[in-house]
Amino acid sequence: MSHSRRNFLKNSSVFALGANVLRPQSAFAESTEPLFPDGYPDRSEIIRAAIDSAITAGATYADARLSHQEVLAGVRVTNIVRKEHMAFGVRALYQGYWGFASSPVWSKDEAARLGLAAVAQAKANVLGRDRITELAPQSEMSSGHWEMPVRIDPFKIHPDEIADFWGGIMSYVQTLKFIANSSHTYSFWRTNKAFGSSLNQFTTQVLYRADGGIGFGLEDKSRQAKSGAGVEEISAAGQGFEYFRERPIREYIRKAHEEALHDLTLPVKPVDVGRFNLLINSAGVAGALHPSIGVATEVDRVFGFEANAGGTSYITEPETMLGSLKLGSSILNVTADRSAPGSIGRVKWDDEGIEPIKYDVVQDGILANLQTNIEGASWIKDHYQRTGQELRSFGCSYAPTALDVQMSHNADLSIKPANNSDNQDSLRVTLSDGLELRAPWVQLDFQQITGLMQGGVMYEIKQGKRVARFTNAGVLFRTPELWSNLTHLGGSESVRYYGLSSEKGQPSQSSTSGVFTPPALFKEMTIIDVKRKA
Amino acid sequence: MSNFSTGENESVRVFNEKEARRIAAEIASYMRPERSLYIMVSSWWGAGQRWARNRASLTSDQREISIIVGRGRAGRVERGRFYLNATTNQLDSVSLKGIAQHIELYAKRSDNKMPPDMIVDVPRSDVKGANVWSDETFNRSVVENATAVEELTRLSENDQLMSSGYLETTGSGSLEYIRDNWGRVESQWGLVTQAVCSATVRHPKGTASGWAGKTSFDMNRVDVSEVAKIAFEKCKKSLDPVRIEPGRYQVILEPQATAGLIDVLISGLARRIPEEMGRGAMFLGIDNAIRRFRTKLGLKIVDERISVFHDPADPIVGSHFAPLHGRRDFIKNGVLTGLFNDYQHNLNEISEGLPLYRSSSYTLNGGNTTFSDMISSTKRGLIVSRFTQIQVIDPDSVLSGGLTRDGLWLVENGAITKAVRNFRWTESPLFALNNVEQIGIEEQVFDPVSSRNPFANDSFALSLNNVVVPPLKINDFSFTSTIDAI
Repeated sequence: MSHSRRNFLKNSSVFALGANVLRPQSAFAESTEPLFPDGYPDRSEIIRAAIDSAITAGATYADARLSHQEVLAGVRVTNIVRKEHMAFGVRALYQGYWGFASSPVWSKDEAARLGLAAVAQAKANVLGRDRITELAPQSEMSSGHWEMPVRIDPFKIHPDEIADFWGGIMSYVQTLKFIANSSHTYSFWRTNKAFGSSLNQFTTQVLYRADGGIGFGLEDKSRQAKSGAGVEEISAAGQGFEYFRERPIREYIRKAHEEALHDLTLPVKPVDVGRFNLLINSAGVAGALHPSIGVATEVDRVFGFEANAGGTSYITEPETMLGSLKLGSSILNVTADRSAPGSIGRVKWDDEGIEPIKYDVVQDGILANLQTNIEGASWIKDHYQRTGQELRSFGCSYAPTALDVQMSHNADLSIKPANNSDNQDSLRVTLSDGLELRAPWVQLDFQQITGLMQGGVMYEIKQGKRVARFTNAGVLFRTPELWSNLTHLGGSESVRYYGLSSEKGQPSQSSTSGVFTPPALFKEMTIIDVKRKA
Repeated sequence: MSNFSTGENESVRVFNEKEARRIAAEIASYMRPERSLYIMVSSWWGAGQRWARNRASLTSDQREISIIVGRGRAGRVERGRFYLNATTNQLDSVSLKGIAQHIELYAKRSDNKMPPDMIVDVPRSDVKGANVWSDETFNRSVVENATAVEELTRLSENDQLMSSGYLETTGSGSLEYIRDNWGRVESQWGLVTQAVCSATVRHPKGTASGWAGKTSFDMNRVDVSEVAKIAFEKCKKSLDPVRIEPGRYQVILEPQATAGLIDVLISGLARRIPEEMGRGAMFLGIDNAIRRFRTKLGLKIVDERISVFHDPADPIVGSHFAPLHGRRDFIKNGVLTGLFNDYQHNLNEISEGLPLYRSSSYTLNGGNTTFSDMISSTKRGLIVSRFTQIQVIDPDSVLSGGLTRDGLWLVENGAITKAVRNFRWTESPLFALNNVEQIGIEEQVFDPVSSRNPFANDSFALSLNNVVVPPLKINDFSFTSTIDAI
């Protein structure tokens, strides 16, 4: 570590003094931090004990996190799952090497043990060769408490009320025409997080997650036709029970059902392979954006830290590609943001105490930034220097619980909509001869460069109307070609939100982040029959 | 074994049996005695050594606890995974009482809908499990791991290649406690360790990539420098791969690729889908005489040289819990001889003494052709290191799609001639296993425990995937397009 600013932290007594100077005790006294859970020690105390322990043992930087997570999930009306999870994780930097130790025990004794263990893990690697680890500075010391605003805390109402709500919704589904099967899942998460570091940060936050899905299948026995639909308006969001209760779920179901009913009337044909203009709905665009632009710009993936796990990225030379790599047509603008209300990745501070900011990932079709944490940002410091930007982490650090070490994950992404009033229906009308793809499943290779969209429903479009459904259709693409073939985007009214998950790391950890996107029109996409062998 | 005591204010690496039984008894005491009950008490410790760009990137020590309580019909659809359950990782009375009360509340409500069908399995004292605990794995020190990684990354740095990888040693202890509606109790305690090592060596310009991995319960059988060396050699042999036409090729699948290809077939060897839904690769058709769906049991489904079985007493692929029964053959000389029973679907058979069986560990018997003989006897074909991102496209034929990764070479006239760009493929493992040319010598492949996130997988302590398979030479494997990723 090269920051001299941090050297004074080696001395724990100085650290304690610094704590008083930089973050007055009164800030805690006045904070609204809940005493949580009952009977457990003050979180700031055990976090400080862990950091003291690590710094005393020789760490040049240390951070500690506590997480308390509750999950309430339902699969069927009578099957309600409840989970509670607590974790304590300490990370320490020693001569450039990272050590991490975690456990489920919240106590001062455990804090001391974890602090020592984290340093011992790091120290074991000091065997003669240097590892240069620089950490991007933070513009200000962060402290405070934040709660994600939700209108109905699902953990403050009886689980039966939630189950009854879903019972009603699914009863409504059963009343609809030609329903052959239906399913739903839901879960609510409440995570209390506390973070502290040897930079005198101490933050606590309460995050919520509402997650759900409704799907149904239709069968018209007289026509021997089948179709299916899912409610695309619900996925995973940073909201409470209001995400379901205060939204017109029945209306969403009715719309999806109407579409599925219409599907039953369309003939089913084997797919025409070749090149076609293709309209993809918001769910499909989100599914393609998340891995091809989101995961691909995770800084650790770009630099090969995930090579043995999820893979690498097509951004092979970040220093020269940032600001010059053409990723798409000039109408493609992607921003990342972890403060969008209602989205799943929303936080006040990331898991390194950084307050995330909104930034461009793709600007006018050109790669603008990577998704960074404090270590990853320093790997591209030359880029920041050259372009006159401030060296900083964008706040992408995340870990599912404190049991897992924090890593750089996808932020919530938005595609800038067109400045018009186009939507899925009006874009379809512009297609005289083409295809339309609804809610496909998108898979990219381990370098996020070639991919395949399959599943969902593929329609044949003639004169702006759906005239048939294709079976076994797939869209084969290369990431830069996909986004370069983007010709039209829907307007701001057509933007929808989706929460999507990805996995990384060893041991593996998953994160969910949101995508806000309109539907989009792509030219000359390669359509294949996914079942056809060579 | 060190660190087995319980501390008041500090975590332990792994509970001892006594502590686990005390916790289970406490939970049971909070619940109505006349009802069925399922409790799983697990603790887990893992030491991880991650490296990238020729340096250790993270060294970690994690401890975790998982207490699961469940009840009802769904309780044993699959061990440790069921609908009605409550989970905590805290051991205080408030937490344990909390999960017990949750189950009481919801089980009561669903009593009318759920038949009293949680049944303690038939006695099985004659069946032995395997010892899959290794002190060497559990006591492996962080310094040993760090030193091993230091050596192997130094090697790749000297050759100006980039090494990344992961070495992990874990230990866990689990107690499964089941009480049925008649008050009969069955419980078992199991200990397991696992050592996992995998490495990826890449050219810094991204023009070559090699991978290798090894798994065993015993650290002594995971040679870290050997893993690193294979990945290193594969990377060097993969430099500047050339594009060749997609199409049908004879392939020599390394064991890792064999395991990847047939995984979807093995996990689909269950009775429920064909018998109840009349679907899936093991569905034969409708038997009009008895008006039931028939499976392919008793029919030849693959090449007669292929046999797939699991022996829980096998020291390599065995299971740490006392198994439900002894060795079971799923495919014998190409004939389908066994399918997994599902607790829910095959309840009558199970209660009559036919065992429930579910294991993700298995052995596919090997042959006697050496890998070099496979190459030298190939006129034109491809060697595949491993597959990735495998996905079933058509469940009825197990037609799957996927990618090749980290090593693909063209063999011409008995010798490797060039490295080849990766392919996307579309093929069915059933087709492949009916087109086997040669079978090599079997070995245990890398197949780590998938996820230890307690929210992702409640039964993390049980997810052993020990797989022993041979390399296979297969004709007419279908590669559908070239991909850019290296």
